Amino acid sequence: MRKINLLVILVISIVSFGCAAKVHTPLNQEARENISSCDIYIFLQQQEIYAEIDKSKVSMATGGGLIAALIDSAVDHSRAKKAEASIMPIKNSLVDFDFGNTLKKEIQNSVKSVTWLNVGQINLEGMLTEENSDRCFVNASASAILLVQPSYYFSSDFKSFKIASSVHLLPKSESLQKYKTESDERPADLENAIYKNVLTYQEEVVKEGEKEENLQYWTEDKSIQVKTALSDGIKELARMIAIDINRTDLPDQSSKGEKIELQGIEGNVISRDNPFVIIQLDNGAMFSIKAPDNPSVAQIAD
Amino acid sequence: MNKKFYIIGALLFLLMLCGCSSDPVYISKSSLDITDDGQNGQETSEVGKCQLFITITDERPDKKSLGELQRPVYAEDMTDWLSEAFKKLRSDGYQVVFNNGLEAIGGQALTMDVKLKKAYIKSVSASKITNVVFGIRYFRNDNMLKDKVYRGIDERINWASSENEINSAFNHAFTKALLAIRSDLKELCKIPEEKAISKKKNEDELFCCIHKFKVRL
Repeated sequence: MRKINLLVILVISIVSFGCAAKVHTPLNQEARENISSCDIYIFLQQQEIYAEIDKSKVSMATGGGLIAALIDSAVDHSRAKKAEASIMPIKNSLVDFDFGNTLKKEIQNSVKSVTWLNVGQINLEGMLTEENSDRCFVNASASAILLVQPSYYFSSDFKSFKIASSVHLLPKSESLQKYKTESDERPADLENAIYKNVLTYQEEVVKEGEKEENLQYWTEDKSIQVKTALSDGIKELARMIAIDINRTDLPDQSSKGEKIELQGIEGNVISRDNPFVIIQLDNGAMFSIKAPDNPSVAQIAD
Repeated sequence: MNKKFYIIGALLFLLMLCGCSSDPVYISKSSLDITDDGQNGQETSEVGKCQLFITITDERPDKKSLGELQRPVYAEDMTDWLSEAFKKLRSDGYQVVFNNGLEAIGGQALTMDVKLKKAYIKSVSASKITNVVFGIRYFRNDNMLKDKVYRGIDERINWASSENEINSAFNHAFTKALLAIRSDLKELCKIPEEKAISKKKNEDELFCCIHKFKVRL
């Protein structure tokens, strides 16, 4: 019996390992030399900011069943309604904030420093669907296209604000096709990316409290903190895009750098531009964290 | 017995297929079914003289997308859709005219500059949340009377992400936004009457003074 249990655990571990998606594919130096130009497409996944919800886990705790699933569904629905009500003042204060165009302008500025990328058009698009990405791929005149999919949101307790984006560089010209690590028949499929990563900006409330106190921090004075966080986050995301695509060194090579833990994120310091610290995690994902003279910055000894 | 099982199985399978459909949903003005939450006869007669001259602009960066509910949701022309929604104000007794390059009907018409800012549906766990947001500026004789943002929200459990559910969610959200607009219109339509009354009162007082002055002379 014990053997069977061990076997089951082993099989689950193998399956889980197999399913773990690779977050970071750095751009190969040789591929980089073959990129003559690049068009950028920003796919906006949302029209407004949102707050995450903690999902009910009754089904998981009880081993499933219809009743448990119904309870989960009812609890989640109630939490979704509450989250929507909580974030409403923030949403209303941001009605005229143009996330897409602000990000477009910042990316335009940041990629100027990456001269070899030779960025041509930067386009704003709606949601990333097969139809949309296929159309963009066909219309692009550059040798590679960079797809950016940002999303911006609060944690369920409003402790942290995040702007997270996956970025994928797809090869269009014939000379870049050989650098694909995986391949899909659809040229615009993200599997074909020759570079990819997940870039996240994170900012936390200055003094952590209960949900209502955290919310008050963001909403006071006509949501000035949210507006500043959005503006900072967009700039940092654009900066990370330029930094990360320009790096040809692998994460294991960068691990020789300074290690820190900041707001629960542990990794190697890539850049410090007070109050922002850019960290690369062991899996290659990149975080920019706002930490103004934060004493909680823990230096991790090697 | 077996036959019954097969039929139930087939039905369940079809239901699952229906629920799992990832085909895009296109909503059109023909699917518009905003509850005509009109007002009673007395109020209708009060607003009857109020003429609304409405201009609708879609300010959304992506004018086609209405978000995603396990499948993309699109609408070809939301201004057309919104025109139909605002026509519902006629059932309250308002005289509704849309801007087709025409001038406002008379100087007392209430001009509504409607800007659609957001319209989307999204799934949050087992729920679907729909938001529609308008900014409306109200003018009379080129004077701005009010500038306000209206939001209609609908929150429901998502059963199958079906076309009917999506249409219904947008209809409910629009109905809620329209309810708040109706409430403001009642107040704004009263203004010219009050002004007209005070103007008449001033004229009467002036006539009275002139009359008294003439009598003294």
